[in-house]
Amino acid sequence: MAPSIVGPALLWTLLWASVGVLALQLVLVVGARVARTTRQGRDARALSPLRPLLLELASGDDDASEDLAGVLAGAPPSTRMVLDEAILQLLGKIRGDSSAALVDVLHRHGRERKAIEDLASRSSVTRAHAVWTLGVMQEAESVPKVVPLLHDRSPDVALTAARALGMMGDPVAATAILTSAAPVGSRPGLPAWIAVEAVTSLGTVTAPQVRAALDHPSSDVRWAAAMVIAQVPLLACAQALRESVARETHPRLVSVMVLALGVVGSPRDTALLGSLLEETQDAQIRRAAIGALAEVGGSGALVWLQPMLSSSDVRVAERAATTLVSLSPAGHAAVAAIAQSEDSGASARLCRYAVRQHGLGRSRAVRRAG
Amino acid sequence: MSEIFEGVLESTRSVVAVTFTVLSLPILVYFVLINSAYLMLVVFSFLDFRHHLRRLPFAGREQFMGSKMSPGVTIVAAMYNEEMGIHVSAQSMLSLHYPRHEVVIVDDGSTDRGFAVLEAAFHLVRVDRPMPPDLAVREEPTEVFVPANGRTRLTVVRKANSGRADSINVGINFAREDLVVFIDADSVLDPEALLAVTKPFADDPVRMVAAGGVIRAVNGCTVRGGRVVDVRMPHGLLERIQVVEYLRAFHLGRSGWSRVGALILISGAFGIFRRDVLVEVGGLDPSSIGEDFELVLRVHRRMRKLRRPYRVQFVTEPICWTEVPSSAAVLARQRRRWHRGLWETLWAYRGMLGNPRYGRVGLVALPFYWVFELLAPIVEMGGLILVAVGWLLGVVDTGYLLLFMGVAYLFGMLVTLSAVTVEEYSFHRYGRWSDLLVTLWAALAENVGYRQFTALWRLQGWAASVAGRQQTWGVMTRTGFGNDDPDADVPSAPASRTRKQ
Repeated sequence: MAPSIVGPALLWTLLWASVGVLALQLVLVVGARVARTTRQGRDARALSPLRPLLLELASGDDDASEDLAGVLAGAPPSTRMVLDEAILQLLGKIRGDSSAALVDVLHRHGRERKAIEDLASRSSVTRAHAVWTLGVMQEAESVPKVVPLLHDRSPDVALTAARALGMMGDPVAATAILTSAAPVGSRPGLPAWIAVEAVTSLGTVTAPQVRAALDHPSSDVRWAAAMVIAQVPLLACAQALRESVARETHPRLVSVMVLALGVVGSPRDTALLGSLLEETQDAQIRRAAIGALAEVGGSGALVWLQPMLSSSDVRVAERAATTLVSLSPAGHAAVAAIAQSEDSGASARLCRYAVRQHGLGRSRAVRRAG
Repeated sequence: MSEIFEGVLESTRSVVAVTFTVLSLPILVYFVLINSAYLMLVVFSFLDFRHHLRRLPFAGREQFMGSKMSPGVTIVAAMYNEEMGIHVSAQSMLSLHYPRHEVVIVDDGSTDRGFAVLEAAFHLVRVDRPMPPDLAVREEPTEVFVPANGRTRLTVVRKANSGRADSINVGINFAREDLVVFIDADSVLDPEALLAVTKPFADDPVRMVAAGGVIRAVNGCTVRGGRVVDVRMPHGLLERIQVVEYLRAFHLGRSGWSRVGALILISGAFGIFRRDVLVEVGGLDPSSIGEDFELVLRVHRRMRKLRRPYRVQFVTEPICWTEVPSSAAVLARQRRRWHRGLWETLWAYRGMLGNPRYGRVGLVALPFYWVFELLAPIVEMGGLILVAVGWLLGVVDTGYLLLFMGVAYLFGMLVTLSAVTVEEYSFHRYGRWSDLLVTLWAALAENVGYRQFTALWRLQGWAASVAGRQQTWGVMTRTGFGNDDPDADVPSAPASRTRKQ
């Protein structure tokens, strides 16, 4: 027999250790399944008598909502946790009077006090959950306590705080939310889309803060501000936006500002937007300018867009063709004229495609109207 | 004569004995190391899952769905003879929960009725849309079709056969949105898949460049209206083992790599990339066999060379359901191709191996793939052959042989069972007790026969590449999702079709 460096004793030890761990894993797997099904069953049983009342209260069409809220508020302590979580889930989806009734139940269970205490928890999950609770409960008076969490060491807590502030609806938080999009040192700021969504939900009263954010040193903040102007929309920020478009150089920023100008601008912006169509401009900016011209330029946009049909950038030309056919009869005619030519170049093919695609959409609309 | 034979036999015995003495420890250490490494990846993935699941209630997915800020997505699928399942797949892709997405299906010169099925189902009409020349392609499109309703965001491009990678590149050229998702035409996505897989791009639009999603086996599940509505374990042992294998290697393994910031493989069955990055690196390489792996490595290399901050992430929850081979012949072809692709790509990017310039990718992930993925079949088969020969020559006694094999494979079972345990604690998609028992059984059975044959097939793929034999794709028999009625409630294996890959 070959003398082996790996002796049988070592192998037996490893074998039995492995068998032991395997057995432990089998127990863990089966135990996890048993524990989960037991917990789910227990929660379902606890919630089942209350669920009809909860749904009735959430539907908001019952005159006896005060009584229903009273019954739910008086739920035994053992079921309160499950009930509160079910209410929080519902609150994430509904608004209005019914949400107020559900929030009332949470108030009676002392959830906002617990959430405020949890804001200082060491666990990031607990902090995020607390912020989220205050947000769906629309606890506007908690805004000063939540704002500092926009700079929480955990990114999850920071973005949940921004969304919660958006739900709370106090415009005083707009500047804090927007500026939290700026990176701090090497750490990235709040995701810009979260900041935009949150500030957008605060409404038109945020115009002064958003206008000021257009001058912020951070490009992320300026980007978010331009997006908010487009989303709300904030007409009061149009002039500041024009100045920013002329000043900015980064294609990503300019294109989003051009997009916003298309929403809040006027026909007097046609020349500014037209100047962004030059071949020397970034393709991203040119495509955004085409869309913006169609929004604000009206018939005046035709002069600027028609030359784009022969652009060497196929994507720019396609955007121009599809925009022109739906812009006005004159725009459609301009594209159709090229489409009907015998030319087999990219420009003519794009025009034929745009006319065809537009026709498909129209024939469907006609069929619907019929 | 017999003395000569005895002499040769004795010499052989001596050689085998020495070899065994020298190699038994390294082989055992290798088994311990490879399984410990996998175990660590399982632990990392568990942390990742835990992080994800605990935050899910307030992650804001509903808000993202309703947000105008969600980045636009183009789903690109290459189709070759997918007549059996293309309607269901297209339906599934179009009906995903997402505010802004389009679907581009590239018919790679199919010889079946795949295109006719799509034409009839979506009332396709031909349009003369030129292809933007962002990426060079081998075969130009011959025809472009869109649905007659002018509303459904579907584009079907027809072209001569030039392979999946070239077809995907054509699809990227036709894509209008900023993010591009690659998906196999015979796969089905969960309804929330796009929402989950695009969220990292919305959260970090500058650094995120690519992400991969979870891939699971659809075999045995019920597909209705292009969606998996009932998750069950398949009936065949081969498919059951692959379910467990996908869970360990693709789900937990990649999640673990993502956690340590060194994900280098995103499956072509479900991957998402920023379109501008794809154009910048030149798209998929049609000459590569492991084109998905090659693409991700090229992205890493490009970003590192330019010193750009970037992220490649694995998203743990969205699921792409794909069909796994149900016959040994098809599985063998698949594994030969995979290992050949692995070898050729690793060799092509050998300059990144151990190179500090490429950070964890060069210092951790690539060495791991060389040592524990590429070399694993050599060590495994070498070890098996050695102990078998030693046993036949009487160098190794039966008890020791069984003990040695038992220890080596018990480690493997331990890793797989760890993966099953993590799955049970996190997503537990297979809800029935019977499925759990089948999963546990498959985790144990994988080590007897399946592992050894896959090691052999992988070696064959590698050998074919080293010998310079041309890759032949062969015929891939698949079962499809049933009939063409997307509302039909059908299990996933009622019919068969052939697919030339």
